[in-house]
Amino acid sequence: MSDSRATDGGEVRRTGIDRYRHRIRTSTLRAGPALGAIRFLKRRKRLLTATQAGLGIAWMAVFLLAPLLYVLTLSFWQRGPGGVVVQELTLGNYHEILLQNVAIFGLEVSNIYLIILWQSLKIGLLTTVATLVLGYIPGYFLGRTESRYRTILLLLVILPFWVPLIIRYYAWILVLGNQGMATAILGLFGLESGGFLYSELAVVTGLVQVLLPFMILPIYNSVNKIDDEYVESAKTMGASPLRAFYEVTLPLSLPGISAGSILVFILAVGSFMAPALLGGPAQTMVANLITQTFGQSFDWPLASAMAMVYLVVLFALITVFNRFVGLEEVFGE
Amino acid sequence: MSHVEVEHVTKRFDDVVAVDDVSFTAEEGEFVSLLGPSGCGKTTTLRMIAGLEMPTEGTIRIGGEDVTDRPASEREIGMVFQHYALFPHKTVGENVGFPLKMRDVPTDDRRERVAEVLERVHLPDVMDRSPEELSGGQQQRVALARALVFEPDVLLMDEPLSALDRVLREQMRVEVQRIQREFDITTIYVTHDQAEAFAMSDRVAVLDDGHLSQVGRPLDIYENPNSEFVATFIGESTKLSGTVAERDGRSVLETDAGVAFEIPATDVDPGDRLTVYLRAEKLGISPEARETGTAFPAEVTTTNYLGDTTQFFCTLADGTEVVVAEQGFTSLEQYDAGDTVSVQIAPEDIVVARGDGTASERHAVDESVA
Repeated sequence: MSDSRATDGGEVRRTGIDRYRHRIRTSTLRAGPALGAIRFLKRRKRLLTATQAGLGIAWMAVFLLAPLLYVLTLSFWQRGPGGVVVQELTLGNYHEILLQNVAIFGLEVSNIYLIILWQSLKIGLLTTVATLVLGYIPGYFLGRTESRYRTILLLLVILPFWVPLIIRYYAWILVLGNQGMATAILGLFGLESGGFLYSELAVVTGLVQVLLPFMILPIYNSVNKIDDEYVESAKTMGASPLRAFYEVTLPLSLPGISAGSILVFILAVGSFMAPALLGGPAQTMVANLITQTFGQSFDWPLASAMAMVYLVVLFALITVFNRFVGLEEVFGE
Repeated sequence: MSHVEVEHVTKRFDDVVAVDDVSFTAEEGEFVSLLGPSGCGKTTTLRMIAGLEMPTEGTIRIGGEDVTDRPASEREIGMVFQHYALFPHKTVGENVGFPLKMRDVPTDDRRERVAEVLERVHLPDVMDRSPEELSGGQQQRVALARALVFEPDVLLMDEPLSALDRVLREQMRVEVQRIQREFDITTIYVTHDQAEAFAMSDRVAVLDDGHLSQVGRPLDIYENPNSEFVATFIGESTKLSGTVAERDGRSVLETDAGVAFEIPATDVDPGDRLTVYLRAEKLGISPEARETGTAFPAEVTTTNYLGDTTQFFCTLADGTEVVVAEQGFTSLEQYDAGDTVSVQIAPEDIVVARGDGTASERHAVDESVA
């Protein structure tokens, strides 16, 4: 207020920033209709809450649910000549995906979609197991340490997010390629290798690197919430540090383990860039297949059906997981 | 040889001294409380006995064995934590059976002993429930059962009743005492609540800012506090300093606050400086201002009727506040704020501080205890 001075007429002469503040204030006060709406909502607490939640719900409905419903509809239509969508109902897309070339009892599954879906789930599972093993230790450490560097270490965990995904995968190409660092290092020990690129190992390695923070952070969060008293009381009752971990810390950190596993599994199964850049044709995953069907084959109805089957399978898997672990633990009360 | 011996134990965290040269003992089956305000080092002391903190200096012996360097899991101590620390992912039975499981007791045997100990803490039929379904008092019993089921050498309790409401706390006080007597187990109990320590303990150790101020029976500590800290921490008292004088062959304290009263005939000479504490409940009050050997005038500022007692807040001429607590007082209407009254004190009820009641005297006290 130091920059407003009273003039002779008793009026306040405003200078600098204060003039802008004044202008904004008066223009806000004159915005009667807008203020009226806000006042109306303030007087009705429940309506206000509904509006706040409604914004998010409306966004999801318009930009997620509506396109999904469109994809669902599309999956029952047909591809006409030249990729034109013919709006005639058919179950042909699903028949092609699920039942063609299938001999399940003879185990001769030559259906390319099912093979690739299975491949995706397998890579998802491998990635989840690897991130769990590699992520639990730092997550546990961050959750229990009283180091003053904890904040900095946590920042380091999420720091890779600043590097665009595509650059990280290209970096892995440099490491794993046949002229790459991995080959060079093995060469120092006299070991020959033609590089590790275009293999399942390369895809999983890349995915683990990218998805590790999604495992570390939930585990950190749930280990951090475990009261020291639990571990200490286990020790006073005769538990060795290892036994106390197995009996107390590990089960109490289960919510973090399942939250991290679900996140990593869903993201890994649906990954597109890792198999495209680090994998070979044999590592094609479901997202790549769907993209190809949409983009190169111009078969939107078939691609939509693939997307729906993928969605249902993933949903079913999470439901089964929920049966055994309990998702309510993942999302709190 | 005492059952638990804490000898010259010091604990430093970086450059903070949490516990400074504390020594005390507990006999077999004895109930000893560590009493003091928060931050006085009582919990750290308990945690060192448990093996959850390692002392920087000093020795801890349990049953004659030096356990100073032994981890908690090898000490055979039962501990009840402030928030009970019952495992939320295990049933009550699994919680109580945990120490037995750690000792590889077979499952059937374990179940039997768990049932038996739950019976003894008066909490049958909860074995298969989750601890989170139980009330605070029931959780307390489960925590006790879990600490006692493996017949440890010592029971340690860290403010176990502080999470309960007042009525339940007083009931559990009796219950903890009953269980302790029944199991006849040496117990070290941490509390900041003087009433709790006095009601339950055989002996109380008062801690102040990492130092041990006094150890003794509740009665000794109440009647003969050996430092200003103990005198003011236990109960409510008024501190008065002055010079000793002699009147008619009796020792009288002429206080700096302007009043004088008779003090017990201890080894003081006229002219000595002395500090005394007047316990609120040992003071009497009467409506007319008198100045005799055992009474002095004061002005009433506030009266608080509390039902079982009535508190009178009075001030002396120089503004020093004197608190008087009368038992079950009914003639409250005789006293109004601003009235001048007389406050009586019998010489034998006066607590005389040894030394001048400042910090320098505390070390003398520590040495006398050690």
